[in-house]
Amino acid sequence: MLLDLSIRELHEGFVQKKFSIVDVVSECYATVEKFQGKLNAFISIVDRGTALKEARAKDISFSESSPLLYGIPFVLKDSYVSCAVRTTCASRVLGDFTSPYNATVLQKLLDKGAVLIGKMNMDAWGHGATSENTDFGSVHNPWNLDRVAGGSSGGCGAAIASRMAAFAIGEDTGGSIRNPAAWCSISGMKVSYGRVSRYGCIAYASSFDTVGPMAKTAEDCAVVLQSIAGNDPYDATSSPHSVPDYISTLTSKSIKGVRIGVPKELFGEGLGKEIRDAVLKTRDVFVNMGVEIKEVSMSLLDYGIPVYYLIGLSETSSNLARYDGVRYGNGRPYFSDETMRRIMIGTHALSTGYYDQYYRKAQRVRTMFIREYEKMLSECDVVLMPVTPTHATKIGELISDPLQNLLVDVYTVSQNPVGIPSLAIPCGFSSDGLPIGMQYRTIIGIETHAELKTVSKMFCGCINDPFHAPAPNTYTCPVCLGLPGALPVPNKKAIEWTLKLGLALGCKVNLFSKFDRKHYFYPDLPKGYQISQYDLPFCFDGILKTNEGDVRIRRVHLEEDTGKLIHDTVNSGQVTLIDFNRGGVPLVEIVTEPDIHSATQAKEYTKKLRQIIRYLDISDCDMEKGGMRLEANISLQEIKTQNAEIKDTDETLPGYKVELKNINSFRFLERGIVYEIERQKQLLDKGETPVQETRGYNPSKDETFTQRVKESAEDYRYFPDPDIPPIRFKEEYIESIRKTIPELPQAIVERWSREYGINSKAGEILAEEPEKGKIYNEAILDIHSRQEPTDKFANFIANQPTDWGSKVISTEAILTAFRKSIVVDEIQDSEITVVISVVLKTNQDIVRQYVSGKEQVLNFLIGSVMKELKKKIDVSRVQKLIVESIQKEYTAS
Amino acid sequence: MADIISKETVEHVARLARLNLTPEQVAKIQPQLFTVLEYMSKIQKLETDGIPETAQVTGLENVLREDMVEEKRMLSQGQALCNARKVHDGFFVVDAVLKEF
Repeated sequence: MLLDLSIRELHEGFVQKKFSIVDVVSECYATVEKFQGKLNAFISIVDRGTALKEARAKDISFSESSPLLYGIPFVLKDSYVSCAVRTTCASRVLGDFTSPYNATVLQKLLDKGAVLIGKMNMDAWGHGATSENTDFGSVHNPWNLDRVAGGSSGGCGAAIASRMAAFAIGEDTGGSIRNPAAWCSISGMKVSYGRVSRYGCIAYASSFDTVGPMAKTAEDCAVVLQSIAGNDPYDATSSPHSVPDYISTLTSKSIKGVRIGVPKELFGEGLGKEIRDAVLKTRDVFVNMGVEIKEVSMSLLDYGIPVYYLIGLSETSSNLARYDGVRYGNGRPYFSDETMRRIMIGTHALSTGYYDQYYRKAQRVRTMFIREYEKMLSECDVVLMPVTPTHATKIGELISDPLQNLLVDVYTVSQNPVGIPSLAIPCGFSSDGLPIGMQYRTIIGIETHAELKTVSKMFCGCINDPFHAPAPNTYTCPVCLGLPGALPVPNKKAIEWTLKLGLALGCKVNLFSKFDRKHYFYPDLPKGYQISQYDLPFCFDGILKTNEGDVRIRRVHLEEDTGKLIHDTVNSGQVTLIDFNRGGVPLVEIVTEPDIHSATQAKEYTKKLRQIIRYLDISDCDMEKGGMRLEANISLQEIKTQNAEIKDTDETLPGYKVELKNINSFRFLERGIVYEIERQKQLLDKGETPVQETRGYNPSKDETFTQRVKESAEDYRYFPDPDIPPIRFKEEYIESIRKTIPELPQAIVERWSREYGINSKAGEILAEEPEKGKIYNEAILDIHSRQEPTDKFANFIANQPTDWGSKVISTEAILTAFRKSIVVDEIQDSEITVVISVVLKTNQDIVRQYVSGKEQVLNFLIGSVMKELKKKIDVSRVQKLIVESIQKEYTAS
Repeated sequence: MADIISKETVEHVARLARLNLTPEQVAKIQPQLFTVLEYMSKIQKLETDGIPETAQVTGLENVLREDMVEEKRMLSQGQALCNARKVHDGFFVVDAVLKEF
């Protein structure tokens, strides 16, 4: 058979025209036709005519300088997404998914001219060691049809062993390449973690998954790896190291003097005798080739399975969260028993109360494994181990026993948590009530979200402009749609801007930080988790000063926004429409400590925060459209005033909190909080505890309403996102960002007060918006330099109607308007007081109101006097004269 | 040793994972989870005080992308929607969810 030849031999044959690409591809199809019915190795077969047409074209274009893989037929595990052929991952959950993109590994092979024959059967989602956990029927072992082909890449193993293609691309998370390679007697390589891009590889356990070749020989594996290895900008975990020349190393370096370690623990209990003998025989073969054998110790061997399963299943429970049947596929009811069991174990290991015991513990033991392998590999160059403890099992033998099914991987699982490479080669055959009238203290904490205005999204290169997209779902890509296999790469600018905001708020920076996954299901969340930050936010411990006291900033972190939901009626049915143009937009979250004690303070805090963000020019903060969103956590705390000794207990927070959400204006936030304080006070006065819930604010009724009662605390199962390497900042970088922070409004107001005598109230109005603030600052400098009254200028601006500023576009225009306003008509005080006494007489009611303390009516009197005078005079002069007249004529005792 | 996994725990975990298990499936999976977790619990025997956690083995840090739009990877509306079971006017469609969340 031609397919008995190695890849290099096939290439040589093409060069020497001994046979054609068509001949080789035809032979593959003949073999597929003959054995597919028996082996069930394929899930999808590329149409024979299509493949042969491609082969013919390749025969014509082939030349001696063509790549080694040019015209070489190959098969792909069905865990890789492909445009031309459906992708199932052997699960009905995915259905007949058609990917809009090719996995990086597939694209690289196609670019080299390799010919795809089909996509291979496997354990669904990689969950299994026998390729029996598949919705497409078990894969049978080509050496014995009653036995399994191993897993999870069983279809690949069976196809190569039976010569249906020259090589296969498998995927190995804990043995999925090596186990079927062993049981089908072929070679299979689990590469170093990150050596080959995972982009487009449907994730089982992200921090373990590796993409590797399966072929007849180690040399064929080297040839394939040479073409698929290397850094990929779409996979942040792919290795930046250059790819060595594997092929020439194979031929130019002798094995002589290589030290092979043999762990003594491996040959104890549980290892089948025949396998033990075969491995020992292999050892002897190496000895005869001149290698040095060293006995090494692998004391942690027994802990390999727990570490692998606890971490792997935690990650898989997260990775499989995206299969909700909304954007693609049939949905979660279609998961097999084995996959449901794995999701359940992983979810449990990450859940509150078990996280430390399982997930965190396993991550620590993982470190111990890394140290043990470091030690072993300092004593030898390679470790020799059996791949599996037993031979290929009978079909049906392991599928019903979850524990035994997993113990098959005992030898292969420990390399994946460590990340080192491992090659399987064949070595023979065998057979949580108060009296009325209590006093309460309002406790409010505020969470603010703002969408950063970077040009691209947070983890992909999609356009970040959701409010101006031409139509729904037009600014998406595999990453922000959460398609199978897609991987996130963080936006540098978004990180820089988050740091800038944090520093502007006086925060400290975590010089070492990371992104975490936050899990919950909702149709606007494509992956079933949101990439956010948990225990190491970029910034923490800041402060924002308000007139009612300092508000401490607990944290400033970065995350991705969700899609937009629209509630509608379609064909008389209530539905929710989803648009992912907003999904994945960088979102900065600013969380305060519960330091806010009134509705007015809440409003002031949020307004000042928005102002700072606008001065930094990092977000438009469009509240109406949702570009900035406010949430307040409100609760009331009893004040125990009589007894100073129990002051300490006042520091503890109330045992409930009500979340006021989805507020899109400062006024609504203020009104909602006012309503909520009164509502909670009434409940507490009756001796009831307000329900822990999420409430919304209805502006037309001016009241809050229940949105969702929280039955229990959320369990978000946070863990570090294995797709994104951690982030470390240098002090100099932080300082360089600090230097880019412009003078902020508070500093501007203080400077104007100090240097130009402008009262802070007017100053705050002038500094409200960055663009106008800049123009006003220039005008103030100009006025000051000409020794004109800067305070009058500020008051002039501050007393203009709110929309005035938007009509004035330049410093010159503003100065002209001000100078015109201070030109006053010549007039005597006596002339004014005559008019004043007439106005006061005709408005006696108003005068009485003023005398009784309603000072705001003064404006009406000023206006009336000005109107009568019909002259341009200084308002403050008129005001002063009116007040004097009232004091003289109406308040005399 | 793993704690006994109660039926309520199984149901709670299934809710978190959004798996609608039938009473039969709950009954079947309960002992299986116990068996597996009991086996996994052997790592409790290892002393891990002071040992840092390893979340990934790349050894990489600061793998970031410049803030640039990459049109070539973006999908058309048709490509984005082609695998969905229900679509309407360019939107993905699901049964009505709570008006606000």
